[in-house]
Amino acid sequence: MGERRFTVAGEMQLVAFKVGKESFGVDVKKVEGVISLVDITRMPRSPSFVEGIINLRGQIIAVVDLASRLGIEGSGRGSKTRIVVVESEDVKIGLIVDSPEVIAINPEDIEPTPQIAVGEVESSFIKGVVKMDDKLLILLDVDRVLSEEERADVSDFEHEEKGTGGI
Amino acid sequence: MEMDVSQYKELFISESKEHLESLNRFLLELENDPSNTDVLNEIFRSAHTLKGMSATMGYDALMKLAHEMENLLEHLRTGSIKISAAVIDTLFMCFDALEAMINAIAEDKLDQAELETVIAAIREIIGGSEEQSISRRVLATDEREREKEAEKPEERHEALAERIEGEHEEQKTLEVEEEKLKRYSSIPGMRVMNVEVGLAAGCLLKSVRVFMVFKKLSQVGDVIASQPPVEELEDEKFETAFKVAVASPETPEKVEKALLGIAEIERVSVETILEPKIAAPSGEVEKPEVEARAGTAAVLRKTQSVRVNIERLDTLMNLVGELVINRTRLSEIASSYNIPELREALDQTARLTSELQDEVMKTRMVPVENIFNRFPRMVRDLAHSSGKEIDFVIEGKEIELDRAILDEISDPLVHMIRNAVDHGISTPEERVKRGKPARGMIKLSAYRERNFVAIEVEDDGEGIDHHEVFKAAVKRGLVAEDESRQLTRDDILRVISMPGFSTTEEVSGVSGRGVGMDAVKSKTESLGGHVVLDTEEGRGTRVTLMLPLTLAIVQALLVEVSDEIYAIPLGTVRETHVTSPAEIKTAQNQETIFLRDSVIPLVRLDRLLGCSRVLNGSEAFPVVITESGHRLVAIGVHSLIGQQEIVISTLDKFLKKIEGFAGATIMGSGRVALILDVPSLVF
Repeated sequence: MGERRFTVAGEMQLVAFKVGKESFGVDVKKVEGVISLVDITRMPRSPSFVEGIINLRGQIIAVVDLASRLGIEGSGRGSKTRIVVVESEDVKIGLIVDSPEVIAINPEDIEPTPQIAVGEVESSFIKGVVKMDDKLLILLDVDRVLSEEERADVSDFEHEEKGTGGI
Repeated sequence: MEMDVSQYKELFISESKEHLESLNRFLLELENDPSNTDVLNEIFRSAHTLKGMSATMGYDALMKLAHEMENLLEHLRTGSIKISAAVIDTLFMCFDALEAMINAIAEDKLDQAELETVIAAIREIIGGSEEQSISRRVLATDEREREKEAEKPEERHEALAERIEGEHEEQKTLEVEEEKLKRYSSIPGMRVMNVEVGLAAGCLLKSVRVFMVFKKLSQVGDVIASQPPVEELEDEKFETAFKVAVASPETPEKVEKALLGIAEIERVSVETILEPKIAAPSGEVEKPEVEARAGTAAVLRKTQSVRVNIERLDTLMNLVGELVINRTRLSEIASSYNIPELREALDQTARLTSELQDEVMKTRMVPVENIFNRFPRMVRDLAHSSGKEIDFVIEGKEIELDRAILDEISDPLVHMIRNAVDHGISTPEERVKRGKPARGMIKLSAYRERNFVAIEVEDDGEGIDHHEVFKAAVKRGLVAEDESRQLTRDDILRVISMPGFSTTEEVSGVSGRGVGMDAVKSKTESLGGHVVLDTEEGRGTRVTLMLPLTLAIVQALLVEVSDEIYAIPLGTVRETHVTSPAEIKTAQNQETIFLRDSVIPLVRLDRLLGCSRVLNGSEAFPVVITESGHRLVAIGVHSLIGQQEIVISTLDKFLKKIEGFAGATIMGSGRVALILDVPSLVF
């Protein structure tokens, strides 16, 4: 995040990106940086949405396939695929997304989360939606994506898995 | 009477390297300020000590060169030869040759090839004909000194004879010239003391101890005279004891204590010859000139220390690493049982282990000056050869860092400083044209920042041209064109540290800018650190390595399964073995192998970890026999890569609950490898 761009008073900056057909936004304050798709080391015994681990400037962080985490259809890896590094409760995680860019929105344009799912995305991951010119931007609840509950799932998964491969 | 000195070789090498380091440092100082006689004397003294040490050890070639060098230095001292660029260059050449020889000794081969050219260079400066008379004068430096022959290798027997003669002299009391005594007695508070020092029997490199005694004494006061005279002491022409008269405001007890702090000093007795005057007489309260002063500019280390073999420290460190892994494992087990006593004991163990770890880490901490000191010389040479003028500044050399980290960053620092000289600083003419001072500045500094030590190379040169970097990178296909719109410092760093960027051919302004930057980045990251780059066009560049204070290091065996690399801590590895399918027996759904009459359960890592490629039944494969408690398990892998020291990085909260891994490590390639926690993985 090295450089700060101009912020007009009252504006909110988002890192916007695509996952599959949907557009998402994450508050820029939650974003540590955007990096290109590097060599990811597979993490055995982890849930399927955990893509693996990478070396982020000497620190080892997990990389999550956001499409798989949200249970929506991804569009495969391409030249615009990047890893957006987000931070939540001291844990840094890389999210695999497409075409990230920084945009500014007016916070007043944020509408509350609809009760039903937006497209394929379950409403519990959504903080709100913003109507853009031609599309709907989903504000992603990063904390929820990496929530305690989900971490518990990581270990539950592991327990299920254990025993199948061991002695 | 040949002594077996081989066991002292290690000590000799490390001490002579220290001398070389200070020789280089002092000579740089002398180059900047040729009138500084203190520094010149210091160089002379170091060269002389080096000669004495070499003679003791019987390294004749080394001694010969040191002797020739001393000849030249003596000319410089007397002023019969002026200090010129040629002289300085020759001396640097000597130091390099000495270093090469010392390194050769360390590797048990002595290469004299370079010796003759270096000696020829020295003699050319001195002028061949003069040579004989000079070598005589070299050792007869002070007026006080007695006439004697220069010590040549074949004369060592004579020297020995003299040494025996010296024994008689030892019995004599130390006579301090009346006049000198008077001079000191006139200074208020000055006590003149007779110090008798006894070295431990069997102490080799006695001259080094003598040197340390003199250094110590000149810290507390002034050395007036010694018995035998200084030069004889330095040539080790004494048995185990010698006497020194010293004038100091300190008490005899203090002096005694100071000296007993030196290694291999067995006994010290101090007796006061002249009590200090109490009232200050009117008139001059001038410090008298001291002839037999031992050390002036040298930096002194005051703490008491012991030399420990680095391998021992490494072993200790590895053991602690294993202990830490086991402690974690133990806590995990305990958490599944609710036994208060066990918990309490474990808490205590945990506390002790981390204290132990801290202490062991601390023993490995060394000041960064250990590697910083070699750079002034390097910058000087690089600047000379490229016609640049550079002021090299070092800051924070007392900052301490883990020795392992320090060793590892030495090469990256060479790259960084080279880049600063080659591509940061331009020639004086160009700099002046751009309105900058002709002399460039490169600063190497170290400082603490939270849990990191920052090591920084900063220059006031041209900076990195952003557009050129991207043009070059796009041209090489390293980045996509559209990315060039917004480039941050991190982007530049990323681009210039891409392998392959460094080989970019002739792109103006940036060619070679990235030399080794990929190596710098990957090395720093493999140590758990990161690199920060700051650059401003026309103003300069600063590259900062942020390094962890210490490392959690463990020896591990790297193995490969289905193109994935895993590390197995060596503490759990008993042996490795290649097993053929015929050796594998299946009993109750469990594969086992037979090894020297014992049946060991076999776990295939590819199946256990769900790898994409799993060996079929017909191939032979290596197994790693691991031991945990009293249980053995054979872990089947696809190939063994080798044993390596790895740095443990813990996994964050998100991944910690996944059992079977003790952490991860970043390899030299920048890739991450998981460290297997064998007990929780297989048992």
